[in-house]
Amino acid sequence: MTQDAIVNIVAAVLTLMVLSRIAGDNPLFRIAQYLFVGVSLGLAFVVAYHQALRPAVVALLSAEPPAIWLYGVPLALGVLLLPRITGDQHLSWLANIPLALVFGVGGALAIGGAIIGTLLPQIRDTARTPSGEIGAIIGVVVLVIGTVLTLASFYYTTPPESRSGRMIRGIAMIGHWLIMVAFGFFFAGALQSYLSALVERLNFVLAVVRSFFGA
Amino acid sequence: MPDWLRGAEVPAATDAHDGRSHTTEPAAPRGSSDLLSGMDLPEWLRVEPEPKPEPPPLSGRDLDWLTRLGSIAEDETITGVTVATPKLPPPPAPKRTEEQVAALNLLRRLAAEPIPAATPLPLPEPAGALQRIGLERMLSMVLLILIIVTILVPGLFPALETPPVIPGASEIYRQIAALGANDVVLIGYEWDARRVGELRPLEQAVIGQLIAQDVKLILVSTDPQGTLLQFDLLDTLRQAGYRQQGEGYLLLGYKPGGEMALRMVGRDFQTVLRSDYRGDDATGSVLITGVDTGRPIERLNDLSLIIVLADDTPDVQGWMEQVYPQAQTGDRSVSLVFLLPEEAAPIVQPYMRQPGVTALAGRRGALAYAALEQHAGSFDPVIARSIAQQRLATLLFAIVLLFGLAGVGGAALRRRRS
Repeated sequence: MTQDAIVNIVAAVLTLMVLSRIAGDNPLFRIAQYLFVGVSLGLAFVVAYHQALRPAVVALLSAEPPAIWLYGVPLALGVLLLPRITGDQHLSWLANIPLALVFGVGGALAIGGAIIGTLLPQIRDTARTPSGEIGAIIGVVVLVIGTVLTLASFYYTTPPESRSGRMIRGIAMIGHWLIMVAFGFFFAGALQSYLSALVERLNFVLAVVRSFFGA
Repeated sequence: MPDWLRGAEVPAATDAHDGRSHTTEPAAPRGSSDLLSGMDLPEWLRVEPEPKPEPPPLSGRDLDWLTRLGSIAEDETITGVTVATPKLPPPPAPKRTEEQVAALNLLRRLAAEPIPAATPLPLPEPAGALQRIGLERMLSMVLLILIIVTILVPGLFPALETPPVIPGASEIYRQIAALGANDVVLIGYEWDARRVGELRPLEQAVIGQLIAQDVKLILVSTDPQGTLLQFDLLDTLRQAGYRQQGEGYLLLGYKPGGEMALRMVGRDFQTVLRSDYRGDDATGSVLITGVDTGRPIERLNDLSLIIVLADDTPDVQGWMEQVYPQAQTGDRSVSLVFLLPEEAAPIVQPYMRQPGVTALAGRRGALAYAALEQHAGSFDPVIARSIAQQRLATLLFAIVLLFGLAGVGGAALRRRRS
């Protein structure tokens, strides 16, 4: 039996163990689940070791000045995280320095990226001037109306008894249903994804079974 | 001190038993807290001393420090005379409504009645097969069996084997078909094995075409599992006759840091190239210096195309926020192509309206793309079968869902009638 055949049989058995969940929670499903989590974590560690930690340490040991600065400073910041492991409260404040750096830089990157890459383009796209085609004009009008109605469903600061409050409540109801339609759209996408995965796995299992019987 | 102040004491003693304060007036000029106690008062102002109740006998249980202290205090003030304070009449009983009176009577009656003996509950009726298994589970099994049947018996519905038409597929196909051996494409592997059912066909279709056209590839990932899947591609590249690392392709491997790594890809591509998957500097490689292609890669805009295999919305968001703005600036903009699962496609739809961004989603997208590669009249039967299976699975799900809704509705109706 070749190595590929063994790998395929193991994969098929694990697939069947996961599919056994259909008959209720059972030890086979649990074993497959824990195996998946354990293998994923193990793989992540191996990749982090070989692709991130080891090259950095090797470069640091080369003792070249650029490498010392490039890898030495992150290494020192990483060492500062270690007091958190011991649980010793006297030194745990040292971990705040690298954590503050990580959160600060991460937050700045996320906010800057979100404004430039997400918010502004989407606002600009919503207010885009339609081209001469009828379909495009209708599309832009529907987009603008849908955006306004959806945003109105999150408007809570008008007294509901007032005239404007009643009007906004009516508009918000339509916006609420637009959101429901969007959720339905997302659900349909998710359903397609999971059905694809199911069909692919069943094809794989049946192919392994056929190969086992020489078909 | 004047006479009337001499001997004045403050013996305000509190009776430990009823909590009332007794002001004592001594027969002699001591033992009273009253200011006038030392004075010679007329008879009508004098108060007869109230007899002090006998202290309870000290049992062993009462011999705590409070009792003992109280006894000492009482011993000291026992000589005092307690002044009787006029008792207030008790407040009138509140008027109760009829409901309150009825409730009180009910409470009294219940308290008086003995607790009734527990009567055994009737045994539940034995559950039917459907109830034991559960409707949801049964429907899932039916769906599974039906899908297995459709896989085992191909060609059940030939009408479902027509290739799907995806609007973005033809545009991506044209973009990639225009590339050649002198072009360098950056491929981001941001997916994991959970999405293999959708992204593997997409990878085979799109990257397979790039390999067939001998396009130079740079592979990078910020996902640990994506890094492993990059290595899977190495075998395909070697089989296709690609030259070694740094010449035909460049595997950069895992770049830790998530958005920070992507930021570096966008802003400082040379820094990303300083370390490949083995830790070697790739900036001087044949592929990057452009020895073969005649076009050195110094920045992101020198690339011909960027393809990202993303399995989730945050991956697309990261590339669009950190890499896309840089790819669109400068004298030469680079297009982005996203290969996605169907689940992520609707959520990232707003990004796809940006200029130079296209996407192909799911198995349907892969099949539509593969169908574009087929010549007219020679449509691959394997792809046709896959298309039919996918469509049948969706159709069967809808049918099973309708049956489930009918079952739940019928059960609810029966419950309401009973």
